[in-house]
Amino acid sequence: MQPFAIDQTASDPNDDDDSLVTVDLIAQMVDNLFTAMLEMDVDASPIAPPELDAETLSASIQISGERSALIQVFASHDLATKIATAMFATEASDLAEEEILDALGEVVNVIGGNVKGVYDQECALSLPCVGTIQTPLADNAMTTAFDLGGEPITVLFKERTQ
Amino acid sequence: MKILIVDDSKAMRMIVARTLKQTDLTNFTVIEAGSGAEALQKLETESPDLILSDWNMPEMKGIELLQKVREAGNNIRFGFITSESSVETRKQATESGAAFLVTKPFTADSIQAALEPILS
Repeated sequence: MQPFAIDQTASDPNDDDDSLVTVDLIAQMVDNLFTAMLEMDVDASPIAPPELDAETLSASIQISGERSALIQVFASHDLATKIATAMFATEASDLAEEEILDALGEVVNVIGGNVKGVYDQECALSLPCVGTIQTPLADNAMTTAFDLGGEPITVLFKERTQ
Repeated sequence: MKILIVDDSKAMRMIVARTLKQTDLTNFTVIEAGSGAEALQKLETESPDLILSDWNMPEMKGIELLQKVREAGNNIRFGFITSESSVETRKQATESGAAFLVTKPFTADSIQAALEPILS
């Protein structure tokens, strides 16, 4: 499988509608998660989303109800492992694959819950789903990336109409 | 004091346990449950003094766990640590008998601020 590029660099296609979720808000959520809780070195300034390939890990969560949205986080296996070492406070060699996926799932779970809090309407949050990336990605989504310890972590947000 | 941490994510249970140790709180031990059902079992066998539960879990959500605990007539101190922070979530938690709700991402300060009033 060939690598594929996300064609929107820190894009915000929701500027024209009533979406409450912006790139700045996602950046703040990412910063709070990695800086405050995990003490990881994250730069909350958006960077160009990297090319993703079949080895990229994806964690997804959905909000459904009065507002509906999809949130996905993409990271290389190496980066997901770094996140897991921070969460479990252990060496990478001591981590099981399940724990690495669990860690990335918690990343999207926290961001998804924070988005749900921004909506503050009758909504339900799904459980996180983690695995290798599934294509195609959602069209016309807001996609941005951040430097996390020297590697990019990508966040995709797509609000869905009822 | 015995604190029962309930979360389907092992990673998050570890973070909560680690963060508790970073607070000024002392003289506590931590036990864990990976589901609401396991939490109900440990409530019987371990007799914890406080439950810190996630909200969004498979099979039994945290709010259902709280409701089952209260329906059983148990008034154990119960708080949520969850990424869900809407007004509706907080209202539902309070009405069901939760003492507090801490939003993820959390810090040692935010955990301590939530726990101090009910432990003092």
